[in-house]
Amino acid sequence: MPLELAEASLLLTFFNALTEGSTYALIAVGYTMVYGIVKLINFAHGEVYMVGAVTAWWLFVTPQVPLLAALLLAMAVCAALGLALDRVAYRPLRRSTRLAALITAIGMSLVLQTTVQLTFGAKFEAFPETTRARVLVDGCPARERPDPAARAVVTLGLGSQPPVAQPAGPTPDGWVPVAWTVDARTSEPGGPTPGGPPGEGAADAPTSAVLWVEAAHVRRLQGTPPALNADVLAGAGGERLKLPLKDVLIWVAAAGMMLGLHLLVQRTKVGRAMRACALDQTTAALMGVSVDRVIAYTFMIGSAMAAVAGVLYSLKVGGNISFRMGYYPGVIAFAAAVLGGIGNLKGALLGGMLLGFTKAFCATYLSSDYDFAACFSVMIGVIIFRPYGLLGRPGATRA
Amino acid sequence: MSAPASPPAPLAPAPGPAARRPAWLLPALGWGGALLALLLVGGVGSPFLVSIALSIMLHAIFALGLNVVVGYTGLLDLGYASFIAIGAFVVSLGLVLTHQPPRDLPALPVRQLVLTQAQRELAPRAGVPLVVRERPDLRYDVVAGAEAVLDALARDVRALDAEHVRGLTFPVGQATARGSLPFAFPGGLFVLLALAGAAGAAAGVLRGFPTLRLTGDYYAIVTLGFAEIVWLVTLNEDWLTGGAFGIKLSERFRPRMFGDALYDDTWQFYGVVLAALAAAVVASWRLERSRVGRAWAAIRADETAARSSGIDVDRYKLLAFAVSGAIGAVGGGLFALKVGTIVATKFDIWLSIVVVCCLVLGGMGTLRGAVAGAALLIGLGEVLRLLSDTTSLGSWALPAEARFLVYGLVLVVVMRFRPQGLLAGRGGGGLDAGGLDALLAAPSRLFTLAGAPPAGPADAPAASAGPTDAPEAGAPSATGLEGGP
Repeated sequence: MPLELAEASLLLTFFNALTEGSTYALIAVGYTMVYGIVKLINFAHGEVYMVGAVTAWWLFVTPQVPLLAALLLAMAVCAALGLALDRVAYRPLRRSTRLAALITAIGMSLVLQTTVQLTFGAKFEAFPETTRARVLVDGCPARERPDPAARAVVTLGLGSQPPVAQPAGPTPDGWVPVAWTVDARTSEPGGPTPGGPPGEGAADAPTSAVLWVEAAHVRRLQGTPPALNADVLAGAGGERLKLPLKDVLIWVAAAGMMLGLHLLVQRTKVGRAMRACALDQTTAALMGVSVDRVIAYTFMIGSAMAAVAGVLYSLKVGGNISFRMGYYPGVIAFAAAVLGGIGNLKGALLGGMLLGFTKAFCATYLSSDYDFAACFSVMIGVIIFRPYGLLGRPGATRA
Repeated sequence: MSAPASPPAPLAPAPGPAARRPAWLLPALGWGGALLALLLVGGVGSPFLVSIALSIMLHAIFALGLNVVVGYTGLLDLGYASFIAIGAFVVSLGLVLTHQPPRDLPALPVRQLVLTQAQRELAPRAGVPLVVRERPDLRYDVVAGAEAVLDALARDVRALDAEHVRGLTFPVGQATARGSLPFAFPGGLFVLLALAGAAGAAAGVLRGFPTLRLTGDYYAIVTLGFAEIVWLVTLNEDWLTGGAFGIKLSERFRPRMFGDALYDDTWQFYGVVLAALAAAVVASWRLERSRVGRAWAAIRADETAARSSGIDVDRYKLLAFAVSGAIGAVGGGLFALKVGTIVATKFDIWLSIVVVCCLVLGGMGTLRGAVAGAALLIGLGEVLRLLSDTTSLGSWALPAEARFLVYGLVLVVVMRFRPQGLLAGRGGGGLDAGGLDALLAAPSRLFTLAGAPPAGPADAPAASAGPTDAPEAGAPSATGLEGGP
């Protein structure tokens, strides 16, 4: 159905809000579980999210591990990282004050961030795509072109980057510059030089032959699955609105993981131990629960979920992978955990969603400069007026 | 490097009971030595040493200000950078907005400027064409006649580089035309610093009101949230703060003192900063020894107990926030003069954390800890920065960010092995506040029995370092906010 611009923008904002909310919820779970049991604001949790995204990106781009495997490996790396954080930094301070633990957590956050900055570099990266969102051929979306060649471009993929200006026309080697945006990494030296936006350049390129060439070339590149990068969304011209698949993926993943976690906490033995530790560690220890092990599990689970959030969110956003990416989501997710009622899994979901909506709608309708400020305001308000959160009761914490 | 980093406080162990030295000797030696070292650096140090010493002194002022809240009342403030920012912006805006041009200039809009050949050559260097062509609405409209402007430019080329022109979006000329206060007169800086201090105190109280009931983690996170909001405002409201380009304090705006414009390489500025540091130390010391300081200590030990023994907890906490904010803002004003270009990005969360780091390293709650922590940490950071600038060992160059790695490790390692800080842990003796030792030593009730790992020797330093004067109840907020176990 054709959409008015305002409607499309509302829907898009809604989708964004759901996506941001899911991401925050996935991160907030880590905060809320750790806080519920150890009473520690794991300030470094945002960095775990960052490490997850960076790891998956590196695996995906450099050894060209398939996306799903990269995600799983990143989860494993982050779980190990969470475990290490607990072992190295937090466990020795179990009997110290919470202030000391918080300062340690801040220190670990700095250490992780700087380590990533020193190894990964101070740059911004994105998962390469095998499809560009909108390819215009002769001014018409390539997907709707009658000629199969143009459609193949969309299916098999063109560029990882937003269009960059390039001189139109093939180079002596027979490459069309358009393709260059994709394979800057894989193409042999001596190929066409990278340059500015083809935007229109794609339209000028002689379609069939040359586009086939680049499509074939692109096939060698490891990019995100084409299905994830389907054409999106409405322009001013009343184009059709489709569900953005990456967003859907994030929603499904978040819902699935939250459900799984809920079942884990409610139905399994480990979950019961976790709940016991959250209630009363002394008694739990007396009943034979290995508190340290439970805490280790908690860190691992929370960190793995943060990794999922990091990878999926970066898949969607693009160009956000950097050593700094963890700070704001981390703090906002902590706010989400508090908002929902710290120690409460459903609260993390609710709080994450509320803050996701706050941020997305503030960015669209009020000011994109102050979207984070809106989240922080909500956080401050909640902590001051309802520190036990929306779903919590005064005087009760549970996981 | 070695001179400013030399410990301003005695590192020697506490004199045993057998020692006959009077109790004030060591602290006096320490503080005297520190003062001497700073004077020495200021007098004969190389520009590099002077710059490091300035950095150290400024951070020491910040750490002292933060210490009032973190050390004395036991609340972790993660948003201290906002006070520094407030001070920096009050001072720089005060200097820039109220700047008066020399009175004898005819009021001729620059748009009508006719340049001679020589002037035309001079102008691009000074950025004039940018001003004239692109932003005729900016300040040189009002400032005035052709000859005078270019003369001024010739004197003040560094005032007008392109960055400045792009960044400064408020029309200085208009403010000038309104004839407001110029602060460039000799004592003007102190008036401005006082204003900055007042603004910082007001901000501290404003932020303090809603957070009076908070303790522990939640207080820390809320201060962080406030600081982020302040940061976003200073970054985005570029009509006021210059946004990402900032405000540049060029020579015309600098206050004058004994004939020189106050730049960071002048002895006058060094003296002002040193005096400010001394004032902060003395003020903290007097406060800590006063009724107020004892009230703060009581609040830190146990807020409920303090309240029930008749201490007006809210008032004393607000006072602590005000004092802390004022010291931070005054330091921030001096910081503005040192860095020259005041950009919002300088006052982000990491500045807050570096200050916390100084304090943690030296010892929370102690004056010597705050100063020595700043000396060690900033000195170390500057050395690392120097290494990163000058050395590249083969392909391996040390990036400037490496110092943040060090800062992070300092936080972790100090908390792990010496949570009371390097220079704390000894009750009594000179400028010693007792520190957070008791606080940090009191095992959190939650983990008293439960989490006890079979092998816990590592916990010993934390558990055993407490002096006897503070009750165990000092653990921050095991009750209340989170609803307690």
